[in-house]
Amino acid sequence: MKTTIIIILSLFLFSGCAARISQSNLYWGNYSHTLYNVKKEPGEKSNKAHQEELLSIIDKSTANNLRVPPGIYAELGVLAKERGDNNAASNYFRLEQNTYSEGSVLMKRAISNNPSDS
Amino acid sequence: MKNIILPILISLNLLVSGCAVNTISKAEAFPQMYIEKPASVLVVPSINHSTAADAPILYSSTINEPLSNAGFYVLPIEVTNRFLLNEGLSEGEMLIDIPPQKFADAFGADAVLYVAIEKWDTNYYILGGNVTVAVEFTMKSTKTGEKLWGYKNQLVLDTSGNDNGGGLLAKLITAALTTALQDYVPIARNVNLIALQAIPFGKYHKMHNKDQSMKLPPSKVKK
Repeated sequence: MKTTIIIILSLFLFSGCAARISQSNLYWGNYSHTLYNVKKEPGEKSNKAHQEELLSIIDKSTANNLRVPPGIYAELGVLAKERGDNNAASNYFRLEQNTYSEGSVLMKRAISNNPSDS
Repeated sequence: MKNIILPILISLNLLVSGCAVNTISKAEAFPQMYIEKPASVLVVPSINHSTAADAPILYSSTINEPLSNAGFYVLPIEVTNRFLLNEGLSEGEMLIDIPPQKFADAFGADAVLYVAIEKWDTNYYILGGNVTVAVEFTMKSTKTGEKLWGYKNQLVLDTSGNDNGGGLLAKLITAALTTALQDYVPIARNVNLIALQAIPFGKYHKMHNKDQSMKLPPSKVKK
């Protein structure tokens, strides 16, 4: 009986970890958790973990022919800008704009706010 | 006898249809959403009515995923928040009186989502406790400034962990819930998910413009 309960619970717990694609054809991985940690405990460690998650989401989305979710490229742009890498930031903002034309006005503003590294 | 059967049947019919009035559909509740079909949404900093000072910042990390999954393009919050901050607009309260139309030009937003955090609490009682997250959503058009959609939701997670004789099962659940106490993400997630079931889906959703007749949970609709 105990074994059965453990097995059922394990299935329940692990099913939440399986890759899920939303009704808008998006894959998010652990995005909400790593972003929450950035807000809860700001710093090098949480930024790095979130950055890795963002890159992982791009990889998996591309591999599965899915659109990269809204904001993923843009957040990488913001992280690059904070590191002082304005060129990388602009490139990411362009990628966001190319993926979502609705973001053009905003991304153009973000790019023009970025003096390019000489 | 015949004379009273018809009136009784009519009365019963009125009673029954009277009960049905409470279960309205998305299109009945939010007709403007289907007319305007906003694609891009600006999520502004939350208005904080809770006792937790960090609630708006923590909440902001939970909204991109579900709102995007509901089919909208969520203008990257990290970018828009920085622009708003540059204008001195760091808190939700400061944004209430700004006409939503201003955000159309500034950010290319079709709509603005205002979030009021009513509760973001851990409550401790003598024999246990609970975690409560309560949020009220309002989406406004940047074309007209009018409300397009609204919803209110509260989730209370009881963390009392009373041993109801469930043995191993109860202990495992208690352990999981204790862990959840340190992390509001699952609770905020559920609040968002439930609320966003009540929104007319945006252009990226499979059911976009096909969900008019989906019924809303009656008690929590805010027109």
